[in-house]
This record gives sequence, C-alpha cells and structure tokens, in this order.
Amino acid sequence: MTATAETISATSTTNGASSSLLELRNVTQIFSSGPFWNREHNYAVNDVSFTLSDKPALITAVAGESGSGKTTLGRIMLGFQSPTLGQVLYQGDDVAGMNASGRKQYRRQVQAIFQDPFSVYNPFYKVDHIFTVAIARYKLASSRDEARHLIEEAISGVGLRPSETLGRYPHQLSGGQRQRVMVARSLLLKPQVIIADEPVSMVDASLRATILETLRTLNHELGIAILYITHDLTTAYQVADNIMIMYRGHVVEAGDVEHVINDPKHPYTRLLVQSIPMPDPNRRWADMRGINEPPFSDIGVEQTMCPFVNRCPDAIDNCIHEVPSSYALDQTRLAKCFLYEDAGVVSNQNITTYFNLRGSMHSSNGSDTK
Amino acid sequence: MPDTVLSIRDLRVYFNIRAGTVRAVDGVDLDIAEGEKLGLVGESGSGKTTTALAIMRMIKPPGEIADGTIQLDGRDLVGLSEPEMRAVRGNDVAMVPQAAMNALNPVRRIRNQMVDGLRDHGVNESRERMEERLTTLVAQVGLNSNVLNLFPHELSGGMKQRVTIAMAICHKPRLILADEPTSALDVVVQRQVMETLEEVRSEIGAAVILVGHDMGLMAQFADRIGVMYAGKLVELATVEQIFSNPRHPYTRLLISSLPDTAGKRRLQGIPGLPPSLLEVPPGCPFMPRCPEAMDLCGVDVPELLGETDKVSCHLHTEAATV
Amino acid sequence: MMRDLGAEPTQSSAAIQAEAESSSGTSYSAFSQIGYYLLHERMLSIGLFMLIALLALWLIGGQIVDPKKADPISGPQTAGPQSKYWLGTDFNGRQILPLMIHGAPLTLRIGLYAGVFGLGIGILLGFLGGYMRGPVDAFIRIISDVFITIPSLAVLVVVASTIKESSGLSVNMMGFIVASLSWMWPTRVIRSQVLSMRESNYVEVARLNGMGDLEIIFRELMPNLFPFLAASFVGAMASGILAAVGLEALGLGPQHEPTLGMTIYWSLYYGAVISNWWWWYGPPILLVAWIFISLYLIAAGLDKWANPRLRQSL
Repeated sequence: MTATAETISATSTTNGASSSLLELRNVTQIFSSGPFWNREHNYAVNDVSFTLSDKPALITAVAGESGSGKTTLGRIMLGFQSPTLGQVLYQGDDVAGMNASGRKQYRRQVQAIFQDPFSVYNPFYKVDHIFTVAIARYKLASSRDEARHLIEEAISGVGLRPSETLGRYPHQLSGGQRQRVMVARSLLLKPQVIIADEPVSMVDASLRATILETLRTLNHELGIAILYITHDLTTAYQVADNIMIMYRGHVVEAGDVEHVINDPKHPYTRLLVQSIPMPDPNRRWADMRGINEPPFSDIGVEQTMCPFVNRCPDAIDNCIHEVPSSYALDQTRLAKCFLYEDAGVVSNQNITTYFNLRGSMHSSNGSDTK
Repeated sequence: MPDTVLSIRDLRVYFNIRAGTVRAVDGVDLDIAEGEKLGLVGESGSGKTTTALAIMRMIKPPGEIADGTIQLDGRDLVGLSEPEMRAVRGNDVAMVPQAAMNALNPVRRIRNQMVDGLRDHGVNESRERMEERLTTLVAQVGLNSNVLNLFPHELSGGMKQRVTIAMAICHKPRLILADEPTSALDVVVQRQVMETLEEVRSEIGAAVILVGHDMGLMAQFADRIGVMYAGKLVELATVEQIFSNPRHPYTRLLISSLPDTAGKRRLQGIPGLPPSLLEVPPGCPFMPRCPEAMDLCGVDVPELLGETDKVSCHLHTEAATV
Repeated sequence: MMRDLGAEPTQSSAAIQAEAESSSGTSYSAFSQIGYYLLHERMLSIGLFMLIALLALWLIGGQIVDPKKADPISGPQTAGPQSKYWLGTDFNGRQILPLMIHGAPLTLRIGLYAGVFGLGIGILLGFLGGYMRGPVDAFIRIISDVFITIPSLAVLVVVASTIKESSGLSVNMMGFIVASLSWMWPTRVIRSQVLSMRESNYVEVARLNGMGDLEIIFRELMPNLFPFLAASFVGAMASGILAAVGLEALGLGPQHEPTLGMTIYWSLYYGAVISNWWWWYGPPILLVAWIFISLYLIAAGLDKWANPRLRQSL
C-alpha cells in the first residue's frame, strides 16, 4: 500500500503535463569483435531517441527479428548496458551521472519481465525469494505479516493461488506459472516502467492471453508505462498503443500500432506483416516475390547505406549511397525510407512525437481517481 | 481415396519414473494418407512430440512404447529390431529437427555432414556423382552450392534449417516429421522455410506431420489438424473445420485465445492448468478446465468419434453415434 | 553443442519427464534431498564412510594408544606382528600401529592445508575474474594457466630441498609448500562457473531487486556453487596429499615427523622391501591408498551432484 502512495505522489508532482520517465537521447550501441587489426563494428542500436512517459502511460511495442537490436535497446533502458553514444535519462537526469539515491530510485522504478521463465529464478531458493528480497531492499513492508500479505495479494492478482505457488521451488511450477509469478513481482513493485522482453514467447498458447491481459491491466489500472519487446506482430497489435519496427539497429518505422500493422509503409514492415502466419486457413500467405534471404553476413551493406537495401524489392539508386532519414508521413507515423522523401524529414528526432497518445487517456484518469 | 501411409492404433508411451508412470501418450489412433500434411498441436506435455518420437522409435528410457501399433505402409514399426529400424529412419521416415544448430555438427563442413548422411544409408557413389547429388539437394531447398563448403556457424538460422530439410529429403522418404522446425526463426524466415518445405514435399510426394503449438503456422501449412491434450487426441479434422467450426471446447478456447490483427479485443486465455499425467483422474482430462463440463464428463472418458472429422467430447457423443 | 540428430530426443523426453514431475506437485525439502542423494549415490557415501572411519581410528586410537609408543626404542628392532606389537616395529624400534595412528592425521593435515588454501585462493580469484571480467579476469586467467603448465613436483622438489637445507621442515611448512600450488584448478573451475552463472537472468533480477555486487556473489551465486566448491576442495586436498607423499618418499619431507610419506621413506631407506619387513612399508601404503580412494569417491560423487549431465535420473 505504501508503495502505491509513493508512486502516485512521485508522479503527481508534474501534474497534468506529460512527464518523461525514461528517455533515450540519440542512443547508439556498438559491439566490436575480432582482433584489433580487423575489428568488426556491429551497430546493435543506431541513433534511437524516444521517451516513455507517465501521462499518459502507454504500451510501446518494439518489434523486429533477432539481431535487430530490440533486446539491446531494452537492456540499455534497464541500465544493464551503457550505450556507446547518447544518453539515458530517468526523470530528466542522466543515468550515467546519477548519485546513489537517484540510482536506487531508478532501479526501483524501472523493472523488467524476461523471456525465459526458468532462468529468472535462482534454483537454490524458493520462488518467494524474488519477492522477499525486493520487499526488504525497497522497504515495502514494515512487518513479516505485511510482507506476506503483499506477496499473496500480488500472486492472487495474476490469477494464481498463493497456497499452490509460494513455498515451492521454481522447478516445481510449470513455465506458465513461473512467468505469471514474475508478472506478480511487477504487480507487487508497482514500478513506473516495465521493460517486457518477449514475455510470452516461451509460454504455452493457452496462457499467453492471460499474461498479456495482465500486462494490459498493469498499464491501464496502475498507469505503468510498458515497453513490450517482441517478434510477434499479432500480440504487439493486441497489447500495444504504438510500435517501433527495428531492423539492424535502426527504427525503420514507428507510429500508431493500428496504422503500422494494417497499413505498413516501410518495405521491411510490409514484409513482416505479410509473413505473419494468420490463424485462418482462408488467409494463406500470398506469393512472396523479390524478397531475398538475408545474406551470409553484413558484408555488402555498409554503414553508409540503407540497412535493408540488399533485401528490398523497392530499392532505388539512392539507397546504396546514403542512409535515409526518418520522414514524417503524418501525425502518427514516421518511416526511414526514401520512398517517403517527399513527406519531409522529421522535425523532432524523438520518435515519441509521432506516437498516438489517445490509447490510454483513461489510464491517467485511473491513477488520478485512486 | 489415397493410400494410407501411416496408421497408428492405440499408441501408448509411458515414462516410468520414481514417482510413478507418466502417460505421455495415452491411446492415440491416427491415419495419414499419402502426401497429406497433418498438423499436430497441443501445449507442452500434451504428447505431440512424444508421438512423433514414437514413430521414429526414438523414445529413450525411462520411456517406452507400452502398447499399440505404428504401421508404415502396412509394416509395424513397433516390432522391428533396432538394425531394421535404423534402415527405416531416414529412408522411409525422416525428421526435420526443432533446433537446426544442435542437429548439425559445428566442426564439420556441410558437405561432409551430408555425405555422411548419404553413406550411412548405403549410398556409395563416385565423388562426382555424390557432388552432383549434393548440389541438386541444396538447390532443391533454395540454397547455393557454396554452402557445402561452409561450417554451420557461417550459416543463418534459416539456411541451417534448409540444410536439415535437404538432409531429410535425400532418400525421398514416405513421411517427414517436422517438430517445430521454425520455432527458433523470425517470421519472414519462418515463412520462407515453410514454403521450401512445402515445395520439396510436393516434389517427392511425402506426407508430413508438423508438430507445433503455433496455430497460425498450422493454418498456413496443414490439410488436417490433430489437437492433443494430456496424451490424447481430442479433435482431428480438416483445417477449415478446425478454424471455422471447432467442436471440442479445448480447441474452441485455443482458437479464441489467438491474437490477430483484425481489431483489438480482450484476450481470453484458458483458465487452469493441464492435468498431471502421473495420476490421471477418471473421466475427460479437460473436464477441470472445461466451461461446458457435465456430470458425465467426470466419470466417463469420451472416445474419439466421427467419420472424417473426429472429436472426443460428450457434447458430441450422441450426435456422432446417431 | 556437439549433439547429433540422434541425441536430440533425449532432451525432449527428459523435458517431458521434468514437466511431469513438476506437475505432480510433490515437494522435497533440501535436507531430505541430500539424504536421498546420499542413499542413492553410493560413491559419495562409501567415500565419506571411509574418511570417517579413518578419523575414528585417529580419535579412538589416539585415546587408547599411548603416542610415546611411536617413539624410537619403544619396542624391539624390526619385530614382526605379534600379540604385544600388533603391527610389529620398525628398524628403530618404533611400534607401527601407534606410528600409523599418529602419522595418518599429519598427512591428512597437509591435505587440509592444500584444500583450504587452494579453495580460498580459488574462490577469491575465481569470483574476482568471473564476476569483474575485463583486464582483471584476463590477468587472473593467464596467471593460473601459466602455473598449471609448470610441472608442480619439480617446483616442489626445488622449494622443499632449499628449505630443508636451510632450516629443516615441519609438517606445517610442508603443508604450505604443497598448498602454494593447489589453487590453480579451483580458480579455473570457479571462474568458469561464475562466468556462466553471472549471465543468467536471476542475477539481473537480483540487481533489479536492489542487490549489490557482493550480495549477489554471496547470496545468489555462492549457494549454487556449493557442490562445485566442495568438489574442488576435495580435489585440491587429494592432489596436495599426493604431492606431499611424493616429496616425502623422496626424502624431502619433515625428518622428525612420522607422516605416512616419511614412514615409507624410512622403510625404503632401511631396505625394508629387500628384507621383507612388509609390516613396515605395508600399512602406510595401504593407508595412503585408503585416503586416496575415499577422497576420489567423495570427489566423484560430488562431481555428479554438481554436474547435472552426470546425474542419474533419480
């Protein structure tokens, strides 16, 4: 209970106006490998700027194939990785230069849900461990009974029975149960931001819906901003308000999820959407022509070209000479592709400028009335 | 009516562990016609992978095929000796594994691995003939013959999976078992690999059992779908039937829980958990989670009934028997 | 990684089994698990039993048998086993049985030094390297790899003979000499374990829970490493004893202490083998073998426990 009060008081200081919780400012992450005479530089994240804010708190999806940089982006936001270039700001302060108390606040308020529901548990401890440590560290309860109550409340909140869950070792629970316990931890902590990296990709289909619905509840009812990292566009569509499509470190398209998925503009997004295996035998994959298998390596695609040039069916001369800028197609859409050069370069590099904020107006109401 | 390639009757696979007997597959009947594409879906622990492994006779202790017959072109695989079975694997039934990177030896070139695969099954030809064969095989799965010179780590995930498909089809098997062949791949590559699989399948006229949990992939690929739950086949019908008119409550819930991109809606999961396969309760295994359960369901196990579209559910028993 | 097509199903069937076991919902406490393990892991329990028997011999025997009987001229010269001197006496009139009761613990003590020191350094360097990574890790890795390649017996011969010349050796010094080269394997093993463990998500969850580095090492990583630590401790102990007995048999041990290795040395020195005084060289050799077999069994048993791939399905 104290935690809720704290969160609300912290967020209500910036009453009304949208306030930035976590912001990436021109973040670039370069991973280097190989011997020093033949060093290879891989741009996992390439000059990305966007903001997660609390009024309104939105669910933002980041979609892309493996190696697109979406997971690295999440790790940077969690502070597990310091970016090569650019800044990460928590409530306006650069995370890199934070003092101990600021850092603790950041740790407390920016939480995560991971993909693998097994490796997040230390096999030595019972599942209670992830709750008890958090409660002790962040002083969420003043007594054992209160702590116990908080844990049981959170477990019930994700549709599990505390008596069948607590006091067990992780291997005694099924994958779906383990992932739900992990979501329960977020429910207990009530952070400002949750980074959810493929939270349902290792969970059985029958439980996916339940977990995604809980995420939606966390956003709508508790006003938690969520970054939903996924390779699955259908779940992204169902859960998120806005989406960023990543390809080789670049955000190639971003905007309102409804528009991006139902009317994709960037050739890569089109390819992705066309490849979704729809659960409908009457909507089979259409013929896919002109799309190439990714090449053996990145050799050929230089940093100075459009990253998609070697697979793009619509590539023009310009694409191999320079990297396209982000063009603003309309109020809620940008695409990094020369096809839309006429639309004009974005005025503000921060992708959030092109997000649709309508999605969770009710969420800010929700937390106000609480 | 095309010939039946594979005919499974009352297949039971049990794992004898410390705590008792796990009935991983508990009485499955299944027929697959020549050239048919059957999708086998279910959540983890439903017995779909175990069924596929049983067909390959690759159940490892403490598991065993406790009962039943698996007839491939009229020949019962369960009764074959291990050397006889070794000749069947690869030649008549081939497998496309789930994780291509684990199926390929990381320190050998693709060429050598494929040559080994051919030699193991008695193909012993001159260098030139062999090379010709390999080039044709990799071309069939849409790869350049350059890949033969490469090591697995030099290939992308999709290319590796294509190599395993090439290895699976090299003896023109009657039946291909594909166990979640694309679960580790991205959507675009997944689609390309599945299209390749379909191309080579129709070329050699093999039947395919696609094991997986992705209903979307099943809808794209399969002719018929078998839905497994707790070691039993609960519904077996054409893909159109399954998606447009699912009859078993489990299938119905499974399909309605799938996210799509045609408008946002509240996502509905299936409440509860699959039962323990250790102490199988009497009656229908889905009963505890079933929104339409009746008294009868708690005492009597429904049988899989029906002509072409089969379902094992008491809601349909009368209709089916009449 | 090097699995072929045929090996694939093993994992899946194991997964089914694990799933089935987990859904059965039975829960075993940590203690009953250890009890169960001891009962079913014959290697570990036999090894522990052998070691305990040796300690009992020392504790009980030390109470009954007067240690003075291990001194020279406490009995006749090279007398065979008889009712008064159960295991006979040596050339200098020392009684063999009290000698063994007195000497075996000394040898074990040297092993203990090697174990404690080796494990201590191993934990420190292994965690430092594995957790911090970067240049610190590179330095630690290079140093331990270089030390591993040096033939330790050669170094020990040089060190031991130098010290012996200058001041004479005590059992403790012997222990420290042997211990100085017992830390490389524990360091390597622990480092590689920490390196892989720190990548696991639960370390990240611990960080999100507000834990600091030290706390993560002690509360999250250390408990999981326990079987590894125990196994490296036993391993370091065994190799320490091996080195010590080897040095002593060459005459490079503590001259005035009746360790097992020194008894073997003296028996060789006085030509016990040629004179067929088997009761003199037999018991220390048997005891050394006893110690090794028990330590080996314990190490192998713990290794199985620590290494899930060797673990039999329970």
